[in-house]
Amino acid sequence: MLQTKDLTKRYRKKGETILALDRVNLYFEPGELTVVQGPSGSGKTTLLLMLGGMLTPTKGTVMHDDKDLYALSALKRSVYRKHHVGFLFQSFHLMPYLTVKDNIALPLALRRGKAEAAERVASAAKRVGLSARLSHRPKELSVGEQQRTAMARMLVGDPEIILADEPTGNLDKRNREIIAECLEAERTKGKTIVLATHDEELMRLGTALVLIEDGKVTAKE
Amino acid sequence: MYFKILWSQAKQKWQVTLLLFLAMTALVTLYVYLQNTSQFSSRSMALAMKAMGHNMILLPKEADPLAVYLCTDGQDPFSEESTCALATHPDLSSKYYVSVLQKRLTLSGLDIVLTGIEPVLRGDETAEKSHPIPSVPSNHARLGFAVGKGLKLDEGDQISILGEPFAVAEILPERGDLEDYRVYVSLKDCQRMLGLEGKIHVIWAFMCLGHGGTIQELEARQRKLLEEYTPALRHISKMDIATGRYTARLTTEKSLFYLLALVFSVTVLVIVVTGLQEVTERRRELGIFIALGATTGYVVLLYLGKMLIIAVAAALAGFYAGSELAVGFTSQFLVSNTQPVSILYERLPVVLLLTCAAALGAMLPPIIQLVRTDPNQTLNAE
Repeated sequence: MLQTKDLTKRYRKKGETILALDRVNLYFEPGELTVVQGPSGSGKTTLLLMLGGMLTPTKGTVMHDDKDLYALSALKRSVYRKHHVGFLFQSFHLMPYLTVKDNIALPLALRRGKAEAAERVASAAKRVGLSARLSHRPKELSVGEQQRTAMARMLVGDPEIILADEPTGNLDKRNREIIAECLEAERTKGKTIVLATHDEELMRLGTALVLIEDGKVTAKE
Repeated sequence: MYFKILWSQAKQKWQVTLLLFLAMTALVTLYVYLQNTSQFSSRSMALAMKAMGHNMILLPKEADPLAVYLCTDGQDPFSEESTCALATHPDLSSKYYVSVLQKRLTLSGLDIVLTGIEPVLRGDETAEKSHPIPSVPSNHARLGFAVGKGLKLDEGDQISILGEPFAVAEILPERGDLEDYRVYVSLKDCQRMLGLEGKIHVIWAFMCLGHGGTIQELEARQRKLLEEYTPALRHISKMDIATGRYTARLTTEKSLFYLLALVFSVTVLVIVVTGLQEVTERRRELGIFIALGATTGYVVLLYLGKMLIIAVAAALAGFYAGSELAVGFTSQFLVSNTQPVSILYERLPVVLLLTCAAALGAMLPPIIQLVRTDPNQTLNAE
């Protein structure tokens, strides 16, 4: 289970203090797909990054299975990300110099698990319909294919927590459907999914809804 | 996957990779070329010094140096064993000795200096290096220019000295000093004619600059050792020409090594600037790697690993290019009797080590920037 306790984040930008998150207390259960909604700059991405152990809070913390993430060392937090978390970004963030196959295999390579890597990569690619594109580089793919590659990269590691930030923001209907199908399938497998989105179709997948405004949770359903 | 990422990154920015490789190769090439040339020019300089003649004389403590310079009867004979004793000390800078017995005579109305010589090579020196003064066979004479001219003698002519016949082996080129009036014969012949068996008047020695340190340090060391090994002898060194040559060589080498320092600085600058640029350009990748569970250390290792591979490749290429340049260019003007200009493979490990250390050292500013980069910055800027 993933939980935030009084999660607060302040930034200093051009001499001004920006309150990105203000005392956020949330629970994210396995098998639940929580949709986080809010206007641009409301703190959605900051919340996802903090849930992923990427961004140290100014105050409060994130608990994962009763362990305080930010009491762990940076090395242990990287182990947490490597084995438990899968990120999905709006801009895909693929490595431009690696092929689709190598991009998908990257999380496994970082885990140094080679035994089933080829099978898992092939299976993840098949799931998002990219089996024929494995030897291509990201710049040779359409936008939708790039996001599906990012989805396959996230799926290959079989993470228990999926943090998705506007994953369908740039996609056409068909690709949005593929992403939605994958997320729904993962939820039914018992994964904890936190999804920041404005996509109404994707929002319909949510089993819980969190509204954020100016860093504050204004509603939970 | 680690090496696949390295290779893919290097290939993606192949112009930068090539620039780094070429800059480092140029540096190593220059370094190896200068090192190689310096070593062999040192050998060549030893030969040049040999050609300049002896630069030290040894004579008994109480002897009058003026009598020795003027070859008068006031010279104080001593045992020729002293020369052989000197030649047993490899720690002395002098390598070549000549036992000399000399006497002024008048030959057919011409003043000459009858000079008996016996070249002695230091024990550890190989014969192929050859003594700067060749020995004179028995019953042969090598005549100074003025003697040959004054007595109208040529090679192959006969000459009678103190009633003994000698064949003229060689007429020496004009020197414009006392050497032009010398008649060189073998030491044994001279001792027999003068009735001074086993005796000599002076030892000529050739001091080489091969023991490291400055010429002043070398001279002081030589003096100290000679006082220990030959307490009964005094030694007088004539290092003015050697000092001049030494200073000239030092000046040339220094200017070349300043050039090396300049190339080194430019190369380090290229590494630092391209490294900083790459860290800035790959900022987003840092965020992705961290999000996928890699540590900052892993990303740092990607940068260092790539630089290390380029450094090793540049060190090998530079070592080969520098060595070949040295062999191709310097062998045309550097002379060595025993060891031709060649590739010094024993220096390869040091070259590899220095290149890698310099490359990794130059990567320090980019790595500091990388470590200080916030991986969230790019992920958050959607």
